[in-house]
Amino acid sequence: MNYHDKEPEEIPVEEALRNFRTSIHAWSDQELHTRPFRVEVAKAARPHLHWLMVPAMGWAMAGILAIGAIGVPVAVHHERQVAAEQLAAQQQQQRETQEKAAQQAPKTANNDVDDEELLNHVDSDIAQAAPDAMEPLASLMQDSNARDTGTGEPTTR
Amino acid sequence: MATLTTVLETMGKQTVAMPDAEFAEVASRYRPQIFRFLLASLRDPDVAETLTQDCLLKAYRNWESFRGESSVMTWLLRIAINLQKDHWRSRRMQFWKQTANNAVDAADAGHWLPSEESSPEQQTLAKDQVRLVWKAVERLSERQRTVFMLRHVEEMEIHEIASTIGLSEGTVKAHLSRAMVRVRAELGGKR
Repeated sequence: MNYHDKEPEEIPVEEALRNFRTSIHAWSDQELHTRPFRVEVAKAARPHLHWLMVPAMGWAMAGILAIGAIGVPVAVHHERQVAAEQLAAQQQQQRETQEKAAQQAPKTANNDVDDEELLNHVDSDIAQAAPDAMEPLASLMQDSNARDTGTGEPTTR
Repeated sequence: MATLTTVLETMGKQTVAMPDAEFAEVASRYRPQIFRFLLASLRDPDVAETLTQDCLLKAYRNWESFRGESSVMTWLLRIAINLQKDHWRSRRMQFWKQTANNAVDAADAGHWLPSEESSPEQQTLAKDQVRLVWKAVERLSERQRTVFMLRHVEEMEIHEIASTIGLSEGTVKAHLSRAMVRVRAELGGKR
């Protein structure tokens, strides 16, 4: 910058800035002179995180949290759904079993009726009145029974 | 620069496409300017040296990503500014308060003046001016300070500064203007 282009009050400022610049240059040169250029091997060789790694780790953590937040409820829901399906299948199986049993039940009842008729028939056959020739003996047996029981009613026959 | 080549070879950087010799040339050419900018920004020679090395290593590792859209110096300074931001951020406090013990005091930072061509009176005046500028710079915001250093220490043009920091030229001018108001106020008040 040319001093002739500046207003009078600017000149001391420019001069101060020039001195400031000169001072820093001299200081820097002196420091550099006493500090030979050398890269610290240990520091350079140290594995360091690439600048992309830091946000990447953040995203990875966020991803894990998102998976945890969404995945766990989904897994729990799925597990419950499977359990409900299994329960429904068991209930369906039970119902089918009961229906089969219900279908077989009338047949058994018919069998029971048949047996009962047969027994009644047998009973009726057994309970057939004594033949005429045997009637006196039958009445005697009735009399003796009445005596034993104490009624004492004489037989009308 | 044989030292650099030797050290880089020991790093086992076989995947980097840039030849060591080429990078050694880049490092030797631009290291003083990067160091100077960081020293002016931080006032701590040790931290400035560490960040300069980090800057060059980062440039070496990412050389393939440099597309030549800006100058090498602009690219390197951009890396240096980012490292400087990370350094400040890592402290989790305002840098000037945190590193007050390690950094050179603003009052002492003006002692480095070439004394060949000026009288003792002029030397005293110059040192006083430098001290006042440092005092004003100390009160600037991080961005204002960066813009001020790039403009008045590195003597970069506005468009170069805008390209380096990633701001518009108008924003750079605004930051520079605010910084200059402080500097003028400091110099004017003590004149």
